[in-house]
Amino acid sequence: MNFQELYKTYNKQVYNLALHYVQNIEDAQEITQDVFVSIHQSIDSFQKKSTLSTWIYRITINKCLDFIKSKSRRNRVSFLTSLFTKDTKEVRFDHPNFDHPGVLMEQKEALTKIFECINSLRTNQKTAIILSKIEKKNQQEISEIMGLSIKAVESLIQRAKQNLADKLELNEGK
Amino acid sequence: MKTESSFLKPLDTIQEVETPPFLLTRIHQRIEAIKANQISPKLAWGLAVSFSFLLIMNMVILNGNRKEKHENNLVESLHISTNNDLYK
Repeated sequence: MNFQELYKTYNKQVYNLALHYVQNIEDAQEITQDVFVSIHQSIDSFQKKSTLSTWIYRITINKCLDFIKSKSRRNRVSFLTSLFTKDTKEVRFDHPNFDHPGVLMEQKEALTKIFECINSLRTNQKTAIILSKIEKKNQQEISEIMGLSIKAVESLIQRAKQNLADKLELNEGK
Repeated sequence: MKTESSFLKPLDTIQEVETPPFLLTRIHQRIEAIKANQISPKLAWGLAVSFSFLLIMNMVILNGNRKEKHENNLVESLHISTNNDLYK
């Protein structure tokens, strides 16, 4: 399969998964580009130990998590520098701009709260819940993507759901 | 009765979206930019071999100079004549 065909087959999968992680069109576009550049550079080293789709899922998830980590690092730095910069009149702390194009208007408020809680989960739990509840993957597929046993995936999903329920209840109480 | 994950039901309403058409162009541009900045393996090997050759030549010459200097010092300290003329 050449690169064009690869892109044609998997671009939607990558872009939508990135959207679920960052909930922002621009960031998802950047991640999608990073993923396909990475695929182009490393396709020769793909050892076929998993399916192409699983391999691409893994690359996408890693790129999403790296992006989120680097963005929050930049936010922390800009927050700290703004405390000491004379030029800024106010402290800047950029919250992610919720702009998921797959979200219907009538569900936006509910989903904003849910994604806020998903974003605060631990990395593994976040990935498990996104793959299971949004990507609709079964546990076998999730275990292949995450490189974990099915039992571990089951446990992650349970804990993620519990944590989400607790956080959402807390939010409702506010 | 609220089921265990009914609070996650809104996630079922998320729709799949199309990728912007210009993304592929941008990806190609990035790939080309990376290729333009890369040194080809041939060039890298060529540079490595040339550099190693220069280094070795340098070491040989320096070593030669050192040997000659050492011999000269020896000749001077022992007052040995280096020419065969009997009547200088």
